[in-house]
Amino acid sequence: MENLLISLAQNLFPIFGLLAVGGAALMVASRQAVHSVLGFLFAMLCVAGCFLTLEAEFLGIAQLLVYAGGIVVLFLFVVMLVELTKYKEKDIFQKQTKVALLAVAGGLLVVGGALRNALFGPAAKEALTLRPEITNGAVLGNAQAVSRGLFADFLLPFEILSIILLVALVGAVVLAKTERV
Amino acid sequence: MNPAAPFLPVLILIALASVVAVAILALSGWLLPKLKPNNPQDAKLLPFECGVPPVQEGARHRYSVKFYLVAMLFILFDVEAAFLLPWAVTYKAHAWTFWAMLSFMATLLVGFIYAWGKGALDWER
Amino acid sequence: METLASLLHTSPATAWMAVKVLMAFGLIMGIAPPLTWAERRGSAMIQDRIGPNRAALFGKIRILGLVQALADGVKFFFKEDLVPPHANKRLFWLAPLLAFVPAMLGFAVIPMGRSFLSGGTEYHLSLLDPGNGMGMLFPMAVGAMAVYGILVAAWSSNNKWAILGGMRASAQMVSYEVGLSLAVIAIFMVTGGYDPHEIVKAQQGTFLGVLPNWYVFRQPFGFLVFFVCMFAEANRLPFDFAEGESEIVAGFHIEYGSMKFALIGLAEYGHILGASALITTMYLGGWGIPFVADHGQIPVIVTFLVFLTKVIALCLVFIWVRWTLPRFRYDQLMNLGWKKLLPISMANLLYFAYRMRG
Repeated sequence: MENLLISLAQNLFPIFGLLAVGGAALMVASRQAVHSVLGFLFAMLCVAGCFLTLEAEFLGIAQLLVYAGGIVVLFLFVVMLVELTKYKEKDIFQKQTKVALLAVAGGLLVVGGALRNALFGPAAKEALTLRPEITNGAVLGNAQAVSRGLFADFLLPFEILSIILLVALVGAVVLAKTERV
Repeated sequence: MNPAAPFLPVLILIALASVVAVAILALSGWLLPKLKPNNPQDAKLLPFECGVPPVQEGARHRYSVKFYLVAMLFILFDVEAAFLLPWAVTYKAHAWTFWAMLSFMATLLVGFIYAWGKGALDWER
Repeated sequence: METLASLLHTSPATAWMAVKVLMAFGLIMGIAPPLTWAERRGSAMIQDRIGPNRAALFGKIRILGLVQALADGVKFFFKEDLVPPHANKRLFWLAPLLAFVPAMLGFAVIPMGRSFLSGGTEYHLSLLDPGNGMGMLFPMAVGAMAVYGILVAAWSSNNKWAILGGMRASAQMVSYEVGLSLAVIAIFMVTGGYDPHEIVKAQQGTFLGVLPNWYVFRQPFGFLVFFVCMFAEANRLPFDFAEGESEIVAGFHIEYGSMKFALIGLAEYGHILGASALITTMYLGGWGIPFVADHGQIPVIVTFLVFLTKVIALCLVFIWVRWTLPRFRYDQLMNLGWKKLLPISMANLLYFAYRMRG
């Protein structure tokens, strides 16, 4: 029993990874929009689990808070808000097969290019570490490291980000408020 | 307990809760119905609408866009909170980050005031 | 601890983990049914009625009608378990599960008592040891998951009342989460971390000489926001727009019956317990005894009982408020959330940040 637990704990990353892929597959394959959103939710939860197993606890929790707790709720709202009984969902959501295939191929190229060292080159763990000095400084907690990144190293992008959020907010208000006067 | 996965107890708790819930659902929805009353009737199977026959077929119609707006505003402030979290834990040691945080928050505050002024926070209308 | 571990043929760490998992689960499953009884008796007291007091075990053991909870459980199992034909079958089955599981995680990271040494190792009375990097963010994230049970139940029922109730409830939970997270950030900021053990430690001793050093006194406005938001998150009156009998009858669970309904009901009480545990840990000093600065000599069981007392007292406050205050109107609810609580929690955060600046 205990050995089982330990081996389970050591193999959580592949388990979560496979489950995430399964959730994503459900999202793509299902005909019901709400089922798709739930598949997406499951995939997001599993990705958060992946982050947790990689000791990126803060990122995992942020994933739960923002993606699973916020963005998927918005998706679910939108799917529920639109009246779908009048139209076949196929006509609304599945028009873009060719474009989607192209986009996937392009995405694969980009990801493959980014990871080519890790995948095909000499497999060095450092290749996947963005800032080794942060991870090596064992004293820092996760959130502390993120905080240092945000407020010391990348302060300007961080402040610009607030403007992006502002634009999104204004956009949402304009879109939702001018529809019905 | 295990350095490989310090959150393992939570996973076990989730698994335990799921197993219990599935067991309860299976017992009550699949096993016991062979024993307990099972008497579906046309009127009973109608969607409930205060005891009168349903007025309109189905329920998945268009609902107000206001819900969408609320969810959108929520996400923006949720992202803001997510960025403030790492700041909060280091603030004690790095007090000079106050102004950086303030300018970040002030930008969003502008948006908040804009949404308020536009009436996006009012539920009526 | 070692004897227990050797009895189970496991290492002490694993045995302790099993104990903690069972405790976190058992506490909620054990307190929730009596809480339903307390709710009915409490409402009866407030409304000058008697309430359920007749149920008895073997016709004898009555305990003020507490056995009613047991009878309700049995009754739920033997009710007709109806899946309406207009519903989406799979999601209709899934929704109680989605509602139930997050509600059972309420005690997951909450320290329920003093950490203690046994056989040279330190044992913590919380499911996750300190320094796990998730801390109090975990209950917040889990609280956000509660929306799905409601939304999925509402949508799969394919009933107008259900969908209206579900939309309103989830929009409300989502709105109040904003003010909630800003109030919580102010606590993290003052504590300098979000580990619940640190937060409890930071609240020991006295404040201004006469008060316990609890955050409820140090950040009263933050507490106000957090407290109100917890009512909204748990979908309790005065914010129970998920149900709203006079408008949408029973809201998102209108088509549910039998044990499926019972699971959703258990989830509601689980959320009340989780919310009480959160308030206790964040603002009422957790397992700490008021005014006591050093808990080193106090038995572990006492700290656990202190924690339990605070949690149950807060649960009773939830019940008390439910039967005292009338329901809000929906636009009032949105006004309160966005135009009052959110600015208050922002001001609270900025005020304490300003006071701490270098």
